[in-house]
Amino acid sequence: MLPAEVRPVMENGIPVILATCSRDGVPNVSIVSRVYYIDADQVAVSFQFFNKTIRNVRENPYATIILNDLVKAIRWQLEVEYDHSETDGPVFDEMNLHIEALATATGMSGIFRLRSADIYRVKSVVPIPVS
Amino acid sequence: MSRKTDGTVIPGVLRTFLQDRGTVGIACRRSAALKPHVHYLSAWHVADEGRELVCLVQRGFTTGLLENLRDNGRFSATIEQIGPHETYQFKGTCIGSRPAGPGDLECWERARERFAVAVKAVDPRLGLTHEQKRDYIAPPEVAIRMRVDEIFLQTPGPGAGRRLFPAEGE
Repeated sequence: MLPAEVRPVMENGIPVILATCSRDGVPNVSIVSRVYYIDADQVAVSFQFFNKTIRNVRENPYATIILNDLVKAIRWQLEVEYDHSETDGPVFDEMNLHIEALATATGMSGIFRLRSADIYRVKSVVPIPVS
Repeated sequence: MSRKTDGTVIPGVLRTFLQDRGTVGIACRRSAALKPHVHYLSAWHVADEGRELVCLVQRGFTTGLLENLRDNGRFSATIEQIGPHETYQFKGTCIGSRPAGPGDLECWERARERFAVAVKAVDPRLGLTHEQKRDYIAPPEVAIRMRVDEIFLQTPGPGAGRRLFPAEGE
């Protein structure tokens, strides 16, 4: 599902857009630091502070992710569905390491605590050229 | 399209943020099936003495927008200042829309200049020209007039998600 060219965009350090919707129909749009590649059909998002996003996807699994490629002037739109959360294992550990490194570099070690790695199934991927 | 709703007045401190410091804007609507859809903004401005947030939706990001807003009106917009990550989310109701006009283009020019300057400051290694950075913010196609019902802090950190207006508990 995810083309190979999307993976480097996930790792380019540019913040990612994550949109969700509550069960009573209120849309929510957040900016997150990164989306993690798991395989061609799954991505992971860290659960730290974004309580509304976390609450929304647990009551309504639909979400949309936008990745930004400034160099190629393309935005990638991923339609995804929340599947489950992991609180240990290799995905959680990699995410935890990355977040801890980021927190240490910004003097906020211990504040940016990873609660879970939220796993989403990718349903569609669309490149949107900036025109 | 026209809807009536109460709403809150955007406070002066946030009007200043929106006008002078916000560098990237994203909006969201949802379908009847509760699927969220993202609409990148070219720019934004406050109107009707703080009662309206006008969101200028980028060309290429308008598919399905007006149909869903006619159906349910729900609209949210998040504005961030790149660098310090100061971020606010405005949730409310679409009270009208129109094609983007010449006045909106001036607003877009200012917003994309702020974007290019901010991106250069946080990542001078990107290797893009100033013009390429400006061009990443496409021109506006549609203006969505939004009555703001709630404003949330979204600056990353423990306070993210806290409702600012109306204050929590009200």
